[in-house]
Amino acid sequence: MKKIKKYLEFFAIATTFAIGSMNYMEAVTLKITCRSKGKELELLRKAIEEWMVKHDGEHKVEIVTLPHASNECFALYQQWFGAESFDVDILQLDVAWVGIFSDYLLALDEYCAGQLDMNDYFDIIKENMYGNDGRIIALPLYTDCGMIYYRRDLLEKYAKPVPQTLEEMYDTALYIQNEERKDESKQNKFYGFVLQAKAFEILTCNFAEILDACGGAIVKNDVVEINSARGSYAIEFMIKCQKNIMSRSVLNYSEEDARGVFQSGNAVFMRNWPYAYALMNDPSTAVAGKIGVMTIPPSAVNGKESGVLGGWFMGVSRYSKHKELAADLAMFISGKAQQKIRVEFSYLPTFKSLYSDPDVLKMNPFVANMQKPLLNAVARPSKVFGKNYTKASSEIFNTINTILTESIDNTEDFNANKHMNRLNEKLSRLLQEKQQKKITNTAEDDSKTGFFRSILNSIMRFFGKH
Amino acid sequence: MQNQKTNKKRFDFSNWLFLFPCLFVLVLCAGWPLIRTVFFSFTNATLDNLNHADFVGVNNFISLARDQDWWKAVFNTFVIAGISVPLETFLGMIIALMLHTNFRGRGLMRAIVLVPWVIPTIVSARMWAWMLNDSYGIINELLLKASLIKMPVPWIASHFLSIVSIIIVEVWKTTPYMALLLLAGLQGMPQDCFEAAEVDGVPLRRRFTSIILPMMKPTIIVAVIFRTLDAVRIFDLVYVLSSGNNSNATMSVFARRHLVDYADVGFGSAAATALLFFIAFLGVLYISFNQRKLQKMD
Repeated sequence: MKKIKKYLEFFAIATTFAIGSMNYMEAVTLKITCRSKGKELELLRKAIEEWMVKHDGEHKVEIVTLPHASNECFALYQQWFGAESFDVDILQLDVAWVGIFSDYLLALDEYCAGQLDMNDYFDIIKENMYGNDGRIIALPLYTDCGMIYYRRDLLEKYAKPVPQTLEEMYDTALYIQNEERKDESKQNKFYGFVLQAKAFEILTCNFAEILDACGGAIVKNDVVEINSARGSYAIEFMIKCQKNIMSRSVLNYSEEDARGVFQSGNAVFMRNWPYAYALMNDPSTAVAGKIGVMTIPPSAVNGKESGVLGGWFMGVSRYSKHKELAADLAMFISGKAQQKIRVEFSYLPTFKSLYSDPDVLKMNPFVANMQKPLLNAVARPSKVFGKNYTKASSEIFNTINTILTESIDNTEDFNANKHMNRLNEKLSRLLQEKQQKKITNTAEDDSKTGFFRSILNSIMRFFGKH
Repeated sequence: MQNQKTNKKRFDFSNWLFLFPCLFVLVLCAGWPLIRTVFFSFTNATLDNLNHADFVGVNNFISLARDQDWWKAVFNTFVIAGISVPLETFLGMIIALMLHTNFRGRGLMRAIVLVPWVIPTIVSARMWAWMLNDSYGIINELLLKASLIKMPVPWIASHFLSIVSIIIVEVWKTTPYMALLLLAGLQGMPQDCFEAAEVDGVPLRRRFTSIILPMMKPTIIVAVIFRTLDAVRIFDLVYVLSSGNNSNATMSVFARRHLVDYADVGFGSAAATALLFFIAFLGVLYISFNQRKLQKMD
C-alpha cells in the first residue's frame, strides 16, 4: 500500500503545475483536482484564469490532475481523506461519490447563501448536491445521462416507428436484425441491440436504468427490493436481449466497445452516454447523419421513461485552510456562465433554463434532446449505501454479468431468480452494516479500554502513519 | 561437514558490512511493506482510516476462509498456473534444444526469442486484448477467413474462454524465460557424454531421455519452481483480459479489488497475506521435496 500511495503522491506532484505568477504576501494558493480527459483540463484552466482576473490576480490556483481511471481517482481520494495532512481544497467528484465522501466535504450553505439558483437545477441533480445531514456539499459541474441511440435510416427502411416501449424496441430490433442478416456480409456481425455488460460500474448503470424503466428500484424507502417482481421482469428482459438480439461479447463491452459496433453500422439500437453523439456524427463514420436519440423507453407494463444519471460535481474539502475562497472558486466554475461555455464541447449543463437558451441551442443543437432524459433520470443508490456503495455496486454488476453469461451458456441449473435473491440478501446486509456503523460510530471511543487493546491500538497507529 | 565447521568459526564482520546496503534496501522496499500488510490483515483498517483502525484478531482470515469468491480465485490461480507451467516447460525445452544446436544466425535467434518476455506485461496484455476482440480482433478475422470458425469467438467475453486466453498469453509470454533458463542448463553440461553417445550410435530419442533429461533435472526443477511461484501471483494479464467478473479473478486480483476498489484494507491485506502463505508454502514444499531427490542423485 505504501508503494501505491507513494506512487500516487508522486504522480500528483509531478503533474501539478502552477497558474498565475503574481506573488503577494497575503496571496493564497488553492489546489483543485481535475481529470485530464478530453477538453476538461483546458476548460478548467480558462475558467480559473477568468476567476483570477476577477480577484485582481491576488490568488494562485494549482491544478492537480487525476489518474485516468475513475476507480483509481476514488482510491486516491480515500487515501487523501484518510491522511489528516491534506492540502487539496477543491475536489472533482463523480455523482456517485458525493454521498460516499459526505463526511469529508464542507457544507457550503453559508458560503453560497442566496447565490445559487436552486430552482433551476434538475431535481435529480439537486438531490445529489446534499450530504447525509441535509446540507449542500457539492456543486454540479456538468451532467450525463444514459440514453438510447437508434438508426433512423434502418427504421425508415423497414417502415418501423420509433419504439415507445422497451418491448416494442426489442421486437423492432429482432425484426431488423433478422432482415439485415439476410445479407451475407452481415450474417455474423449484425445485432439488434448493444449495451455495456462488462462487470464494472457501467453495468450497474445499465441495469439501474432498465430496472427503473420497468418500474422497479434497487432500494426503495431504505429496503432493498432488487428481487421484486419488477426486478425479475427487468432481468428477464435483459436475458431475452442477450439471447436474441445482442452479441455475446457485450459481456466484455464498455462504452467505447459498444460505440465501435454501432458506429460501424452493425447495430440498430445502442445504449450509451451523450458523448457518443458528436463522435458518431463525424462524416468519416458509417452512420453519420443517420442517428436518432431517445430516452430509455418505459416498459409496456408499469414502466416509466428512464436513463441513469452520470456527471461530475465539485466539493470543497473539510480540511481546506481557505474555505471561503475555495467555495467562491467552486461556485464560479460551476456557475451558469461557465457551464454555458462548456456546452460547446458537449458537457451538458445542470440548469434547466440553459436547455431553452438560444445561445446554447445555437452552439450545440443536440442539447435540446437531453432535457427530457434528464427530467426522467434515475440516480444510482450511492447515497443510501454510503461507503458500502462500491461493494454494493460490485455485487450488482457481478451478479448481472453472471446471470447473462449463464443464460447463454445453457447451464443446467440456471435460475436467474436464485441469483437475484442472493443479490438481494447481500445488498440488504451491506445496507444494514452501514446503518449499524452510523450508530456505533458515536459510541466507539468509550469502548477502547483494556491494556492489551490499547497497546495493540498504539502499535496500529504507528503502522498506519509510516 | 568439516567444511561447514571451519566456515562457522571464521565469522567475518566485513561480509556483513558489504551485504549491508543490499539488505538495507531489501528491508526498506520489501520487508517493511510486507510486515505492514501482515499487520493490517489483523485490523479493520479501511483506505480512508489507516491510522485509527482497530485490532480484530483473525476475523479477516475467518471471513476469507468463508468467502466463496476467494476459493474461486484460489482455484482459478492454480488452474492457470497448473496448466501454463507444464506447457511452458515443454515448449521451453524444445526451443532450448533448438537454440542449442549449431546454425547460422543463432545469436540473433536467441535474442529474438526473448522479445515476448521483454515487453512489459501490461502492454502485451492490452495488445492481445485488441487482437482477441471478437468484432475487430485480427485473430477472429484470420480464423474466419481460414474457415476454421463460422462465428467470431468471444475470446475474452466468456468465463471459460477468457481463462483459456489468459493461459495462451501467459505461455506466449513466459516460454522464452523458460527457454533461457533451460538453455543455460544445456550449455553447462559436459559435451563428452553426447559425443560418446553419438559415437556409440545411441538413437536421438534415447539420448534425450537417458542423458539430457537426467542431467538437466536440477535445472528443470529450479526453472519450474521459479515459474510456479511467479505464476501464482499472476495479476496484469487477468486484470486486462477478463471481464472483471469475480468468477475469473485470481488471488492477486481478488486482493487488489478489496484493497483498492472496496477500500477494505484489513480484508484485502488478509487476502494478500494468504497469497503470501500459499507462495511460501509452495516454495518450502518444492525445495524440501527436491532437496531429498537431489541428494539422492548425488
